[in-house]
Amino acid sequence: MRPYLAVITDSFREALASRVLWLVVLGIGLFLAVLSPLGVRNEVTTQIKRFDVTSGQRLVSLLQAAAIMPRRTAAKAIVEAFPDDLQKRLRESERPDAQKVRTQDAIDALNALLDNDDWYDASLWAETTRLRELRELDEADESTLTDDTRRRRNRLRLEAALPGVFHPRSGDSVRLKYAIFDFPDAFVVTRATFNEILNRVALPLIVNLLLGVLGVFIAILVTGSIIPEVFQPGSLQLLLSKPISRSFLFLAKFVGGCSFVTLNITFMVVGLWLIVGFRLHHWNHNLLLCIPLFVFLFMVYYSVSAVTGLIWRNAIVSIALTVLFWIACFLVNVTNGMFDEFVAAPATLTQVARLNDDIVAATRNGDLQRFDRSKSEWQVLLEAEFGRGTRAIGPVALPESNQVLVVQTRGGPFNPFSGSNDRLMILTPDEDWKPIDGILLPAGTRDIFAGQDDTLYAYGTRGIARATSDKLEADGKPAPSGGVFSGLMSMLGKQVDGFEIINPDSVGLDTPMNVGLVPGSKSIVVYTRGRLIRLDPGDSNAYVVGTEVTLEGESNQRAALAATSNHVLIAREDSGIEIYDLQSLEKQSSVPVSDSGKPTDLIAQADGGTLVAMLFADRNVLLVDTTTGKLADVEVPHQGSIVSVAWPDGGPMLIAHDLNHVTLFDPSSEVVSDVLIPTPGVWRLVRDWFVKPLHFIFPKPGELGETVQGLVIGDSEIEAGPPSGVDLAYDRQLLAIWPPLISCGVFTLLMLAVGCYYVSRQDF
Amino acid sequence: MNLPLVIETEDLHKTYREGLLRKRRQHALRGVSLDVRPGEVFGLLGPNGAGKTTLIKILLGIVHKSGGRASLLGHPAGSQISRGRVGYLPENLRIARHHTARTALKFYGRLSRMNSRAIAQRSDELLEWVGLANRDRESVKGFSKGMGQRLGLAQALLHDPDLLILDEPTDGLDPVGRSQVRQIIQQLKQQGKTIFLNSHILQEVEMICDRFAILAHGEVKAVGTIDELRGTGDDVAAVLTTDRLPEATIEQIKGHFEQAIIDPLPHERLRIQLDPCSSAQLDAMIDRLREAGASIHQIDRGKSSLEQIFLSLVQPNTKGAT
Repeated sequence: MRPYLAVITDSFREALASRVLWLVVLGIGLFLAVLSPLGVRNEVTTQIKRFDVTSGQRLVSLLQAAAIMPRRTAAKAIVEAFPDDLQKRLRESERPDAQKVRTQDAIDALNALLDNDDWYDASLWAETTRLRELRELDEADESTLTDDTRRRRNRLRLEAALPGVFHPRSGDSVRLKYAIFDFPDAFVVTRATFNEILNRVALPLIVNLLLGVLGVFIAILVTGSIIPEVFQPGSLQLLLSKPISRSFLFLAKFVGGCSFVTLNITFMVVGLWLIVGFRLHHWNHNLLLCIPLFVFLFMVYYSVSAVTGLIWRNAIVSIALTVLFWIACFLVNVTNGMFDEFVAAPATLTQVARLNDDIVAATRNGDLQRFDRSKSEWQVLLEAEFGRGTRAIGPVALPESNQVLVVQTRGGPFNPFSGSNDRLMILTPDEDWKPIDGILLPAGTRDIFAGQDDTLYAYGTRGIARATSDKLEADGKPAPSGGVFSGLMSMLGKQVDGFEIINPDSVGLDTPMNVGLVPGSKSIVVYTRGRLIRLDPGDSNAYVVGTEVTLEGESNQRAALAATSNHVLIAREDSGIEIYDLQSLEKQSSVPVSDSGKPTDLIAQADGGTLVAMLFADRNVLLVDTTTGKLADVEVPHQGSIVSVAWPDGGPMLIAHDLNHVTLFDPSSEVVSDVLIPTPGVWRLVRDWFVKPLHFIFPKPGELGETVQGLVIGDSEIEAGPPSGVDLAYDRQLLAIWPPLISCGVFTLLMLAVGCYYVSRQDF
Repeated sequence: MNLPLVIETEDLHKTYREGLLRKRRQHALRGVSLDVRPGEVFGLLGPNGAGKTTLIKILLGIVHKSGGRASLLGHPAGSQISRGRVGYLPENLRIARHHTARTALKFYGRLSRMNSRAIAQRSDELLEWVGLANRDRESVKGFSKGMGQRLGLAQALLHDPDLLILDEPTDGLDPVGRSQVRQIIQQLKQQGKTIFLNSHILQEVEMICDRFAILAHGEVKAVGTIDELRGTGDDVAAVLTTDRLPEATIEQIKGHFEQAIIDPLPHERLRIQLDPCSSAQLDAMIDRLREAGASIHQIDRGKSSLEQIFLSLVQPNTKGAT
């Protein structure tokens, strides 16, 4: 080994003798020096931020309702403390010429109330649902409270008075500062949010940009001359005359170049880790894993640089070809991403329903389709407007009335709820699948279900609403203007078009939330902000609380929920998947699925069986038997490509897979009864037969960014779409941690093997 | 005593493939056979493009042979064992600019699998010997060509090799530098080292080498000592100075003596060179000149120089030119 160690050491000596190394070290040192005064100061969470509000529309509507309400409530007390001008605008908001109250106006007015509590009336707040933290603060001795805790108490009082408006935020906040200068209030966030921003955005961005792009580019420029320099006549022939292996000489030079880069990357990452730890009080040891990772990333490019440098023995050619390789990788990656975005994603089925022999499905871009078996293609029944951010809620099949219901909402990707003017669309084979206008959906609806006797249920920020199948068609009156007043009424009224709000007042649906129907019964299971509630039908139309429990763990965990005849299966972000008894809501067992992460959806067997299908972000489905708490020994087909699952009453499971294929599968007999495969279009063929294979065989250094993200956050999943504080059915991207490492590793080994073969066979 | 050969080649061929599709063939060596004995200084001579450097590269394993056999110190040429016993000074040696003389020796010593102590000890001796002891910690960036060559010689000798291969060791040096390098080679010769020398400065080679091989167009034209190359002792050169002769007489002389080189001299005289020239030929030439009525002012009789032998072998068609 001695000769090869000498070659590696010599590369170091060469690097130390060059000015470039010192310039790079100086650059990194300067960057770290500029970053080091950045720090944080702990504060109490008081200020309300725009992203603390789940629905701006609901916030404004509640304030408008309070403004015109004759009875004095906590919300009205708040409105009365607002400036006169704002009160007037809230009261007169139904007038056509009224100046609209923006969400930010309301937030600013609420924040102005934090400094004093003249507006607070304990008797009014006694009617509200107060969190434990607020109850403790209300009961605390006034003299023991600091100004900050008083402000915190005021914020919690505002949240209690305006239910369903705010995401829960912990009391620990941090304010960014630079040296002795504090950042403005806009930079005050909760510690949890701060850590999340740091881990999910800031650190991956910094290391990916500075090391993955800029650092690697500089490293390629600096090291591009090492191999061509060695293989120049005069120095090469002397080296080759020594008793050493040519291949090992080449590899030793390669390692030498990597060592030089390792030095710089280590300096950068360790510096960053220390600054983040000491100054931002966040010790993320996973950050140190970025050192070998970025050395590995550099090795991928350097293997190209080394082999081209070996063949052409010219640093400029070597660097140019390496940059071309970089561009090629980038283009393949971008092309693959574009095909995913514009070809695969719009075609992906988000929900499937079966109406007798017809299969209907909604797509990710909001279309409603029916499978035409004669032509083997999806026939579009309702087309979404392009570029309007349309999303489909449903479809839901009502077999007795022979109808399919769907709602196309244009809330955009940032709104997980429906808007105030979203209308049910009714389609039936009796009318040749022509859409018929239905009643308005309650504003803020998250999802719809079909219950017993073709009853339609909808739930969301307004609560749980119900409509019978005979009242679903619109009455022919013109649609409301869409003004604020109509939204307000839709938001607050008990009777919303044909829907009727059925949840008791004590069960408001706050985010995070989820609702499931109990098969074969009219009971409903509700999860809202840490509470698990079973609602049973009461004497009149209203529902009553059957059983209610507060679940262990953080109350702000998002959840997926499904109910069987005897059990409730609930999956929460950090508390795993648990089975509760339906009647007592006592925990029965936990489901052991350690490797699969958290499910995106839970789908119960609608005909009263005991199985629940769990769909995961990795597009696998596992079946769990709720009576035993164990995974069922059923081999669900098309694992790894399943995009959605439905399990209608009295029929097989509908498995949507490979974007837009549907398989009808009976888990009890493990028999596939039907497979619907549409004839692919041109772009789909290009994607499947050209783009994907090319992407598969090409090295993926660009995707190592995902590996970085995975390492920094210590998780294999990230939120791919806009943040959703509602449930687990948000878009999740499964981080490709290992595939880029494997593809890049194989490529690098291949390049080095080519280099070794060339150097051993070539005459110099 | 029958000592094993240090270098032995037999019917050695090398063909380079050139062009985009590597279809064009360039024959660099065409059946080269020669041997170098222990303790001798062997000179490899030849014009540019004769295949000298290719031969050395094959011996060191830098270039792969196309056919034939080559061995160094009893091992296949190019094997790691044989390379470990060879010291090599390449043409246009280029030592990386970040080195000093001492770090360069340390680096090359390690490549020759020497340990640190041995490197330090040998470095002291060799730097002293090649006259770089007091500049051993200076960057080689500031070294002259001569200093670089002397450092190259030191690195070639560092691991005390059995064979030294020196490719144009005095190329580009001034007379003082050449003299220094020649002295070093003489000393090595006295130490009994086998040296394989490639040079195109024939006078130097003639001064240093025991035996020679003359390579032209990839073929060995001659191998042997200088005397063996000259042939029999009778075939030495003769140079005659005479009165100027008529053109017709000059043509007759050229017709009879193919090797004659006739040059005009000042004062209406001619210089006639016959190389080689036997005694009978010299007598015949004198008779012919006398018959033509020319006075013979001077006759010089001597041995052929290496240059003359070289030229006669590599440029046979130039003989007899005036």
